[in-house]
Amino acid sequence: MDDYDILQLLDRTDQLAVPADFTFRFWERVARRERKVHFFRRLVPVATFLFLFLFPVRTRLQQIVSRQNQEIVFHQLAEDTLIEESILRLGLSEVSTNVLSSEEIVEILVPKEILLFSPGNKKGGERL
Amino acid sequence: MEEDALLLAKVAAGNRDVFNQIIKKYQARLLNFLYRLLGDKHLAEEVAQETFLRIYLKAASYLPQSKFSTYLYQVARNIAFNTMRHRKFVTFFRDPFQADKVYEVRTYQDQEDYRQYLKEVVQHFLQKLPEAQKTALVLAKYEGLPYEEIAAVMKTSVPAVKSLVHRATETLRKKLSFLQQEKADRNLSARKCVSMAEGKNHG
Repeated sequence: MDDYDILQLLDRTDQLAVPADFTFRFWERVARRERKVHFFRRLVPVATFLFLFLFPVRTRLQQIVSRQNQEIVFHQLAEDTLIEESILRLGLSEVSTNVLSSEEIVEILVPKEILLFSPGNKKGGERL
Repeated sequence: MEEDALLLAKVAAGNRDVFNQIIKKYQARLLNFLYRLLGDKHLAEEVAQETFLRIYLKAASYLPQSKFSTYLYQVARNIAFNTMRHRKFVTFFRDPFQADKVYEVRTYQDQEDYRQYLKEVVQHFLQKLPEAQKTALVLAKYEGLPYEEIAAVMKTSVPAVKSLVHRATETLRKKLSFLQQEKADRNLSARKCVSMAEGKNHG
């Protein structure tokens, strides 16, 4: 097989005809591209605002919420310790382990008005 | 300044309609060049559209250092190879054990069937060539570009282009040699038929 044969074979591949709407589709593509660019240009200021303003605000809010959660846990621990200590002083430790839970003893023995102002409660008096 | 470069300068200045002239002038050449590189009609159309779009958008930054057609082929080649690499990647993950097509000696119903088969075989082995060899061969044999322009399109030297075309032709010669064998077999069987018919007539 010489070079001429190879060329003859290569000539056998298809010759594509250009579609009639080739130019029309090109301008459609240009229009689509321009719309996309326009959209992203409008998106840039919004994205910048979100990044520069909302992101730091969100971070700050998260810090506040996490600090509050820590305070709540601390108060609950303080309340539990106080209850256990009171039960020990009253000599009810056996009752608390065998018959009633420490919370039940507190509910029976301690008036509601006092419970409202225990460290585990919010300032408004609502029980946590 | 080259005519196409002037047209592109007009496009850059805001005269969009002038770009239609560039499209009309080069669309057929570009489409066929890409079809031979990619082996897929729809993909070739898509890449041709993208090439024109890229040139249209970058019209302002076009520097007429070389011929416009060289620039066009360069852009088209880059987009085509990126598309091919992406397609290879996707195809590999869809079917990593895809077997290569095997062409065997077969019988043909008629001349048209044989012609169709030849087209398919040549296109298949053209696609199997390495990217650089394929580009050099297509630009040299189909587009009829001089070696200097091919070297400019491929950003390489003229001897390198000659070597690429030679290697591509050699590879195709090896791969397509079975067609020659098929042809010889067909001629032999045809001759046998003729001699048998002649023998009958004599008898």
